[in-house]
Amino acid sequence: MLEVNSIYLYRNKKQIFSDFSLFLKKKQIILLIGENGAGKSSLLDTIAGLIQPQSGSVKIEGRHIEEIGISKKETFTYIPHQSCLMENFTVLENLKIWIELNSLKIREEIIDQKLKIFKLKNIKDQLVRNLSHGQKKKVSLSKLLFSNSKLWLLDEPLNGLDQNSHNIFKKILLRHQNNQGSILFSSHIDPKIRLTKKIILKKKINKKFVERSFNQWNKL
Amino acid sequence: MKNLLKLFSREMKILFFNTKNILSYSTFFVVVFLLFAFSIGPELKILSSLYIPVLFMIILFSLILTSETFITDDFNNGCLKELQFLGFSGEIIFLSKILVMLTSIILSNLFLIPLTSFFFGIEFSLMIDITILFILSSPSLVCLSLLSALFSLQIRKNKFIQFIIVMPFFIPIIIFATSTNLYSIDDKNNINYLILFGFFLITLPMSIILGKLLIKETNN
Repeated sequence: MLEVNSIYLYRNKKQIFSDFSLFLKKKQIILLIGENGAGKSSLLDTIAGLIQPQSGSVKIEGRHIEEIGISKKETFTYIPHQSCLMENFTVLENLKIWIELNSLKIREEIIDQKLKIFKLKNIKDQLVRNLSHGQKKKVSLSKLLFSNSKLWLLDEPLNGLDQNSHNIFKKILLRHQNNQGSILFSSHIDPKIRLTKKIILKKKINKKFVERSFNQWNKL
Repeated sequence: MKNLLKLFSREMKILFFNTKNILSYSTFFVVVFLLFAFSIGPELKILSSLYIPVLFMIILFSLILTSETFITDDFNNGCLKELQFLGFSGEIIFLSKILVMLTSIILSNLFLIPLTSFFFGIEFSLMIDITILFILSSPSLVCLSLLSALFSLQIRKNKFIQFIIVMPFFIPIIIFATSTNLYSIDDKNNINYLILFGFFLITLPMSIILGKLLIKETNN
């Protein structure tokens, strides 16, 4: 599904990764865990094709990220740590614009149904600027519910979420995994999601990754 | 083309939902015009002779003021990044912003130029010529001001540098726009019209290429 082959990445004259590789298989969830500044967002931005590594390659379903171009939106869904929401628009308008940009055709009743999952239906007509940080995060994450792509890249998806939303998010991840999907997500804390392979990104330790623990893949 | 239309419709929605851009442009324009009128005095002959240079200087500063909001809002909320990982190229993003900004300033100036012409005692036929001059020069000015806004994202600490880099490119356009001899009846088919159109043919590809590079650079 996703291959990151021996990438070397420098940002602002600092080495972020040296000979870093990562392989994400079908139906696999990988959690990138690490302290602030460890390079989690840089890695996800590199995979999404926003940053060019100095060497190495990123392939999604066997295709180089540079070759994917406009079909990126069908290949993967990326939710960065920023909200990517327009403050002067309502929740519903923001989602409609996102759906339109993704060339998806989803009826309003379906959108309403999906908004119920994160309990956003009651605030769908509120302006984003009036929402709390956690609510904005839930709106961003609800984009996943409309996505058709098999690969999800999520940068700090748990930031600002309450315990209930945290549990809903875990269920969404596991459901995507059951639907042959793969997920790579980052967090600075361990959310303790079952069956997740963890990769610890460490700062200043020669920028090498350490694979810490593997949960069993037998119970899906 | 389909992607450009999608982005254009998104930008138009933002423009009309968020009237702050048009309002701040129009308010700045009217306030500065009134200040000029008051500082020059009640002599209508002097006022009308200074109308074209005053008009273009105000247009230029209003453009620089508003261009930043077209770019910075998307940059701050992460939408600029989102558009890129959805697969929209830097050229298309920049071109859609040029088209929308152009639409907004042409629409507001089609109302503002007649209004200010009336106060400066400008004849109707001359006002039409000034409007044509404005329509010919504004695409180049918009391209350059959006570029300067992108530069300002790069040079966050010292915005003064943005003017030093981009200002020289504004000067020829302003010279040819203001030196057009509209007062001479024999010289109506002024060559400056063609020169201004020529400038647009140069600034459009130049700014699209630079805009694409600068948009990519915002991820680093």
